[in-house]
Amino acid sequence: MSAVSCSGCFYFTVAAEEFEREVPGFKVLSSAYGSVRGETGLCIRHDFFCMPNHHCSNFQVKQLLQRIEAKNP
Amino acid sequence: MTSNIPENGVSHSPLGLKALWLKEDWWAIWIGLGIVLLGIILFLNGSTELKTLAINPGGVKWVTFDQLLNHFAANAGNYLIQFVVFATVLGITCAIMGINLGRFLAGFTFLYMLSVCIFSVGGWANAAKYNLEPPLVALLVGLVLANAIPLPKILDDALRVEYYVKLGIVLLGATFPITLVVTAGPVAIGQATIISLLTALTIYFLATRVFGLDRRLGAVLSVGGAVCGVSGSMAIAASVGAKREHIYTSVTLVVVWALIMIVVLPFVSQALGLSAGVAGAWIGTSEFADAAGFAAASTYGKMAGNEDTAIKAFTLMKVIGRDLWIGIWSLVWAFIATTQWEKKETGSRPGIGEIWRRFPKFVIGFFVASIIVTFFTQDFDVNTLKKVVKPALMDPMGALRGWAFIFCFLSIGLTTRFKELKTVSRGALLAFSIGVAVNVVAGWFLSVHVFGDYWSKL
Repeated sequence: MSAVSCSGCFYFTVAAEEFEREVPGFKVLSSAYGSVRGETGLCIRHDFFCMPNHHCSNFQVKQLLQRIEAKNP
Repeated sequence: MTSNIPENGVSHSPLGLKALWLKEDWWAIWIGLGIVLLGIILFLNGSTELKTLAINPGGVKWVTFDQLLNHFAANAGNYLIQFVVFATVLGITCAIMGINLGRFLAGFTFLYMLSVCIFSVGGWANAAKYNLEPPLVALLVGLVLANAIPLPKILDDALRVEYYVKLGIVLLGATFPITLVVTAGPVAIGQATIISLLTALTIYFLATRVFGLDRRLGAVLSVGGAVCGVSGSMAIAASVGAKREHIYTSVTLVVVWALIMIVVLPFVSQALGLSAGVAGAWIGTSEFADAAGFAAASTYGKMAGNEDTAIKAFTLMKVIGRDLWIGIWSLVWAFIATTQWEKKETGSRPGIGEIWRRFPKFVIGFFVASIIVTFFTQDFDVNTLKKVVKPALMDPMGALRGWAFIFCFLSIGLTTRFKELKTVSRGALLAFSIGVAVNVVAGWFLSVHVFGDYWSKL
């Protein structure tokens, strides 16, 4: 898995709690904590689902953008 | 750079062994098998503590309210112990998975109290006369509360539908002879294969060729309708590069149809005079989500006076038959998307290991529980099994399963907020609904006419 893959991208939402928040209604008859989801995450830039090892040209380093957001809330 | 952990240190590397404590499937296995082993140890030591832990008012058969109150007064200590044990075990495991413990405990206290009320209704002597089956009552009460009263969001963290149903399924394995799984499994898998292919192809063809929908949406809906509802849709979402709105469509259609079928299938089964085994198989072929299917099968089982058989047939058909298809569909759609569709839509192609990664692991717990109890009980004669082992070991485990299921059914209702469901396009509605109709009719035909003899003798 490359450092510039979705896994390290600011736009990639994979943590279960956050994932369920991003997809309202998902937990009614499913769960972000289940094996079936695996590590499928949501790209909030493109608004589609992808895996940690996927990649695209819009990669943004997670920590860098978090720092910028913290400085300019 | 190709290392697993990039220099910025923020990679979400594959979970690997962490899945053993970060995924609810594995916790359902650990807790379920822990209860099975604890039950056997207590049984061998002549202890009745498991019965104490499994207490519920569903079996009181009260006529006057005083009788019910007397039951609670006499067993207040046992209920307190039960609540503390449930809250501790479920709370700690959820906290390890990342759920806020305080919010979980607040929500679970509410869920437990409500479950006691639901069981109490089911324990009324006239409950069956008015079709007040606990699964149905739990679902309806949950729906009314969630949609009529603005319940605080703090309760949501304890409403873990899937966690509870998975735990219930592992415990179900303890009352499910492995010999039955071995003999009935091939029939269930055969029927599930026919249904899975027929329904998936119907929905995909209608969605893309007739209604002109995006093929990614067609794929997501086809697996959702044919295999495992929203979980099935999510299993292939990354493989086909599905958009968020595609999953919203799946959520709306699956939830609405699943709720309709929870209520309709048991009453239609009753009107058709189906045996508990046949109805269980039909429900297992027709319902999408395990949780919704268990609610329907359990309801009909209680209506037919044979809950055990209805649940066994449903489990064989849905959990063992159809759920096995999740990983396979994920791989198939990934292959189609990466070889036939545009590469830019889909990312990279997963390998054969995807079948294992997406496999609903709690099914392993079901099999192991079944094997453990089958081997433990094989040397007892029929009389001892019936008079000693069943009341002290199997019945309490069945009652604990009942608790897990009632938490699940209530959670379905309490998390279903109709105003939060997104509207869907006419094409998606029609493609999915026709797929549901094909699924239900084909499931009925297979369960009643093709394999009917088999399911009725279960």
